[in-house]
Parts: sequence; structure tokens; C-alpha cells
Amino acid sequence: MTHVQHLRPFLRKTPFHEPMEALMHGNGWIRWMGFYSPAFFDSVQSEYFATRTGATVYDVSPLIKYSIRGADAAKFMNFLVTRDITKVKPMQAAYTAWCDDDGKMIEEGTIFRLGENDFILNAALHQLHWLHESAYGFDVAIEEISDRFCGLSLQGPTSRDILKAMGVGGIEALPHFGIMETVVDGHWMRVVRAGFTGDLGYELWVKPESAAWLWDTLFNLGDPYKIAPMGSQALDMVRIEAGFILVDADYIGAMHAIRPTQRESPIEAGIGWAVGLKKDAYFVGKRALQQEKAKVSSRHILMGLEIEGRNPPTAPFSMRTRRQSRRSASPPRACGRRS
Amino acid sequence: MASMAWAACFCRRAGWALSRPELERVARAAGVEIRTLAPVDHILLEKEIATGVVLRGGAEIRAGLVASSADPQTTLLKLVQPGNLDTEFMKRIRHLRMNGCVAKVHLALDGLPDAWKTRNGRLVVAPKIDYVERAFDCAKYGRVADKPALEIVIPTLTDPSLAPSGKHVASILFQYAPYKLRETLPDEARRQVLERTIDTLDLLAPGLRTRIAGSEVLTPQDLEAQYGLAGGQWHQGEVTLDQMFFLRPAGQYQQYKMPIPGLWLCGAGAHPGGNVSGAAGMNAAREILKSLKARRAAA
Repeated sequence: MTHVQHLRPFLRKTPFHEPMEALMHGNGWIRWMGFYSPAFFDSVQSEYFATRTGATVYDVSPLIKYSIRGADAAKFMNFLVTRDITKVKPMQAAYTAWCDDDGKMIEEGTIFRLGENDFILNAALHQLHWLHESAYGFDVAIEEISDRFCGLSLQGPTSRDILKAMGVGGIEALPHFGIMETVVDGHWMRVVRAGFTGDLGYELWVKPESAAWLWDTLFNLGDPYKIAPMGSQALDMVRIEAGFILVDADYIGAMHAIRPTQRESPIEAGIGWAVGLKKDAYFVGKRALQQEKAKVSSRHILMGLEIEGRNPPTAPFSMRTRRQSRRSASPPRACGRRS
Repeated sequence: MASMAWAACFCRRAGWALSRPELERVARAAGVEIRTLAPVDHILLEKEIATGVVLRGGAEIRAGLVASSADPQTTLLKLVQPGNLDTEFMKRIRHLRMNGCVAKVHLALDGLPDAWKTRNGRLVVAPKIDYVERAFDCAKYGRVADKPALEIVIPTLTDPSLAPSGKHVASILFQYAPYKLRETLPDEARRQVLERTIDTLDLLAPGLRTRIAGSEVLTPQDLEAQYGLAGGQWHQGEVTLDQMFFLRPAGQYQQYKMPIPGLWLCGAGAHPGGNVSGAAGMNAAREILKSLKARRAAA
């Protein structure tokens, strides 16, 4: 991971940097959206198994977050994204894509609906310009609030028990994609039952000044629950197993494509289920996606293939597989696991 | 000013194939209902298809399709409510250059100055390219041109019926009077346009000033307020290389059909562009008929 070396003067440290560095064996830092981000701490396999059998924390602070509020916020969100936002109730999260005019995916991510007209859009890439362009005519205030929160993704079968032990009341009742806001030991925390691993898991968002408290509390409590830090290499394994796609890895974000044919629609990227073609409102790219569906003109559909054997395939696997986006070896115990 | 060149060309009698009353008569005979003073508040969309218009008073007029001769920005950014057009398309429409810089001056004349009697209806005051450049410089900095370039048409020379016997009207395009004024107030700009027109013309046709019986000035602000032309642009969008002919209102959308099914453009903001030629409307009608025919054939 030497490629961060020349960026040292420029990379920022998340509020969890110090405790992460203390646990890191070797230099496992890579860059993510201008921040140091861990690729690994110890061995990728141990981090993988910790996620699948205990719990891991992954620093998701570099995710870019936008606050979208105002009288037209709900209407605007329904116009911006492919999912039907009218079906997402306050204090619920939803996974969705957002597309350009041609129905090609700019990115996908989760949105938090905190109130009737109060949303947070989580993105891996900067979207402010697109949001402002799209918001023409709507009464909304869009603001990047990335630095106001820092977060850990607590993932794994023991994650709920850890939060219970922490004193997060009502965590058992939090449904998948539910959001709750609570105060623990005097620290405000937003808990979202979501993740990138396919396992039981929660995103824990706190204010930067509470970062040290959150980390210490989790790791002090976590011992009986096998808590471990996780880096992006292990995350890549679990998210591929879970069938979660990643921008600029499994598909090229429409704004990053260097030729139009590189772009992919959400249907082509395998998340056609997240496209609300029947929703009672127009959304950016809807006419193009309706055409794609009506004409059956999708060029391909991204799917996960599970292949037995010791090594992941190094090239397109069969004659009917046009392109392979990402591959990963699944350790034997977890092979075939989907949730 | 002595070197000021005059250009003139023939102004045809009854330049339009149909005058307005004739057009109205033909349309009514074909069953067209014409409503005036009925401003549209927004275009009615149902299931993302244009199905009519809602007037400012709230009355709905339903129709199988909507053809708008309003300029592209008014049609697509104001009459179509937010959330119905794709982001990049909206951006292209928003970024159309719509800043008018031409004012219209109408003069009622008791008689023609001697210098104009031998002309045949159209005169241009643009002696040198530098003269036009200087006139534009003023507009560039938000001022009315000190020495304007003018295009004067005297329709009464070819059609005397347009004014009482022995009287004339002059219709003048004043270049340049900017839409975005930096310090000048709109009323002051209107006064400057009239004065500078008369000053310029009086030098070329002495005695003109004394023959003016009445005048009307329409600055770009007036064109916007009175005719709903966004930016007061009399061509419904600047006619520049990237906005002309097949690029009106935007590349890929030159066939009058807008992205919302059932919504068409038929004004100067569409191909081929400005001037009162009726070509955009005729072409739009042709395309609409073609589309209706195709729809019928498919049904």
C-alpha cells in the first residue's frame, strides 16, 4: 500500500485514525475520498471470519453525506432517485440508484429519511453539483455535511448484542433499514440497521468529538463478542458474497465514463429491482429506463457467480460471460452464503 | 457621419402570405377556437404525458397534445412544473443564451423626410463594422448604445393602407439595448433608445424630428413583460452558431417534439429560428400531423 506515501501531506485522518493505527500491523493505509482508510489490519482472512462469526468495525467516515431539506425535499428526492420515496417512511433508510438523463447510473447508495422533508443522501463520490443541477425549481436546501458526522459500520452476528450491552435501548426492535437516534453515556448517536456485508449489522454515526468514546466503548465491550477492526480488502470479500455492487469497481459511474458505452443502467448493473418504473412521479432517466425495459435493450445484466474451486477465475469464466467486474475467493466456511 | 452608408432593399407588399385577420378567418373556418388574454399557468401533465393546459384563473383546457409557441425557457422551465424533465436537458435549456439586446422603435410620421422619399422601404444604419462593434461595446457593459446601428422599415411606402393618407409609419430595430442594464434604470433606457434613434436619424434625414407624430419603444424588458419573451430576446434565443437552425432549441430536440410525450414547440425558439416567418410553426404542424398519423396507424 505504498501508493499513499506521496499523498501523505494531503490525506486527512478520520476521527478514528489513531485507534485504528494502533491496531494496524504494517502499513495498511489506502486512500478513500481524500482520507486515510484501512485496507487491512492483520490478515484479511481473520477480518473476514470476524465479520461472519463475531463483529467487525469499519470506518465509514469518508462517505460523503448530503443533507437535503426544504418544503419540496420529498418531491425532489422522488425525482432524483429511482426508488419510490413515498414508500420510505420517516426514520427509514432505503437503498437506491440515481441516474443521468439516459438512465445510466451515476451512483447508488443509501438515503436516510429523517423526517417528512428531511433526508441524508450517502454517496461514495461527490454529487453536490449533480444535486444542485437537478434541484432546479424545487424548494430545497442541499448541503454537504460529511464532516459533521463520523461513523463506524458494526457488522456481524454479534453486533446487536454489542449494542445491547452498550445500552442502546430498543435496538432489538429496529427493523432492517430502520433508523434510530439515541443518547448513550451523554453521546448522541444515530443507528441505522444497514451495512455492506449482508450480515446483521449497523451503521453507527456520531459527532466527531464522540469518536474516541465510540471506539473505546465498542472495543471495551466487544471482547466477549469477538470484535475486530476490518479493512477494505475483507470488506470486498464480504460485499461480493452478499452481492453488493460498488461504483467504479462493478460499474463505471456515469460521470466517470470516458465514453458513453461504458455507462450502465441500474438494470444492467443488476439492481433493476431498485428502479421504481411504476412510481407515480417522473424521475431522472425514467423515460430512458422505460424504453430500455420495453425494448429489452439492456446489453447485459451483472450477476454473481459462485464457482467451486480453490482460486477465483482470472478471466471471463465462460463463453457467455462478457465481462467480469470483481472476483473474490470465499473462504470455505462461508461459501455460498447469502443474506 | 457623412460617410455613413445606406443600404436599402425592396420591402415587398404584403410580405406575409396571410395577414393576421386572414389567418384568424382561415383558422376559425377550420374549427379553431382562439382565446386571447388567457395566460397559461402551467402545462397539465397526467401520467407524465402532456394532456392540456391550466390557465392562470385555474380553468383547465384538455387536449390530445400541447404545442407551445412560447420560447423554450418559458415553456420548459416555467410552464412545465419542476420534476418532469431530466437534469441535463433542463441544464441545456437553462443555459440557452436568451439575453435580448435589440429594442424596437415605432414612429408615426406626418410625412417622410426628403431623404427617404426615394428609398424603397428598408434602410440600414451600419456604416462600418467598427461602428457596430462600438454600439455593441455599450451593451456589453450594460448600457444603451450611444450611437446605435439601426434597421428601418417603412411599410407604408409599399402598402399605404397601413396609415392615413400622406402619413407613414417606421418600424425600427435598435441595436444594441441590453436586457441586463448595469446602472441605467429601465425608464431611462427607454428614453435613451428613442432619443438616440431620433438623433441618429435626424442627422441622416434632416427634418425627421419635426415629423414625428407619435412613438413607441419596446426595450428587451418590455418585450419580456408584454410578450412573455424570456430575456426579451426577440428571436426566442440568440441566433448564434451553437443555437441556430438544427440546434434550436438544443441538439437532438430540433424536431419540435419535446421529451414529455404530447408536448411540442412551435415558435421561433425551434428550428429554423426567429423572424416572423411562420416556418417553425409550419414545420411543427407537419411533424405533429406525421406523429398523429403514425399513432393512428399503430392503434
